[in-house]
This record gives sequence, structure tokens and C-alpha cells, in this order.
Amino acid sequence: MLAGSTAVLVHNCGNGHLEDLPIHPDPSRFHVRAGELVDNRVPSHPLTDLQMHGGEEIGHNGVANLSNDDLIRFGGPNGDDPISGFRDWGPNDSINFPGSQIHITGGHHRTAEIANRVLSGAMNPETLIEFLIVR
Amino acid sequence: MNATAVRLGSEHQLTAYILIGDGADPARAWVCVQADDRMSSSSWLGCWSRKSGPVSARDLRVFLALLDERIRGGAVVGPYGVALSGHYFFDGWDSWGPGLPAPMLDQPPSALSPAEFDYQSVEEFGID
Repeated sequence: MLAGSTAVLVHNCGNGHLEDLPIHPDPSRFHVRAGELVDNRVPSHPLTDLQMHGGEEIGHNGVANLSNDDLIRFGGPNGDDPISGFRDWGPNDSINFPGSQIHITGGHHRTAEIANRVLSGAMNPETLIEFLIVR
Repeated sequence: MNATAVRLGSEHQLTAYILIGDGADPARAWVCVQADDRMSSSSWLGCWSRKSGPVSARDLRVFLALLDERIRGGAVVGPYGVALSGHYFFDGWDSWGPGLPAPMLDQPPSALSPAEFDYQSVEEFGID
């Protein structure tokens, strides 16, 4: 959404903006737009420096160094660790549309990095991400 | 919702809100950062919580000084305004990243009234 020359994320105004969100054909998954993670990411646990920035102990260079494609790939870079979570309705949401709150149960570091990339302009907020439904 | 507001950075108009207590721990200290023009949001740009035990004014002052230093060197202006340039980690504190941590689900920025705050600088914080 644009207001003058400044881009504005839709936030705290219910879930009407999700009316046209594509329903995932696989009932075990759902879609999230990258921009939703800026204002509606609900992490269930904190992040770790090692996972985010990498190191020999964990054998990778960190989530912050993944490409945009690897960040949003279902299953992650290795294909076996999908971002997971569930939607819930927020205080101003309508029951007629998907809940705006994105509760994260897996992929905390990737979703945090995606949100930061959207905020900094490094990822398109309309990018669709596949989540595995896990409560 | 009670909070203390501390200005961060030099030009980016970010504020750290100090909040005590959450849905899981009534004594846990939180420091959550938001841009002044995004206070109607349901999420924070970043939140940090004290790992364990009580927090003193000195602990908070040290943390705020470190956070301020990182933000002065790392905040960016993106298409949606001011943003943190990365993920900041500090000893003794958990970093939750952007969003609204599950234990803080009932404490979004939009629940605060910025006009009611007596904003302090990091240097002023904790000085009676």
C-alpha cells in the first residue's frame, strides 16, 4: 500500500487485506505473505546468535546469510525443515477471513530474517511463503 | 500497560519501551523497540527479554547503552521507515526479533499512548 511516496504496511486494522490470500491446495499447509511477518509474527521462543549468524559448531553460515530463495524454500535450504506455525485471529479480525496473527512453531530465524528484509527493502512484501500447519 | 520510554539513536526516532511482566512470567523484564511513526502497529521492530532473575536499573542502563550503540551504528531507513539493520544479541538477554513475542501477545505497541510518556535519554535513564 502506498501513502504519498512512502510505502505503508497494512497493520493493526484487522484482516480484510487477507481476503485475496491464495488458499494452499495442500490442506496441511498455508500461505503467508512476507509482509505479514513484519506486523504479525508471533514467535514462541527467542533467537540464537549461532543460528542467525552461523559458526563451525552448527556447520552453516547462518540464516542471515541465506539467499531470499533459500529463506522461503519450503523445507529450508536442505529441504527437510519447513517453516511451521498456524494462524489465529487478532482482536480486530473478522472471522470471515484468515486470522492475521502468524504464530511461529518452526523457522523462527528464517521468519525473523524475512521480516527484516521486508523492512529494509531487500524482499518484496508480496512474496508468498508456504508454512506447514503445526500447533 | 505500564512502560518506561527511552529514546535511542541520534536521528532515527526509535524508542525503547521497558516493560515488566508478561503472560508467562510476571517479573520478567522486556525492552521492546519501535519507530515513533509505527506506534499503531501490532508488532515491535525488536524485543529483548532478561534471561533470568531480577533486573536492576544498572542492568537496564548497561543494556540500553549497548542497544543504543548498535542502533546508532546499524539502523536503516527502508521502504516502510526506520528498521533495524540486523539481529542484535546481548549477554544475559534473549533476542526475539521483529514481531510480537507470544508471552507479550497482550502488549503490542498499539496498546501504548506515546503522548503520555515522559521520554528519557539513555544517559538520563535510572537517575532519580
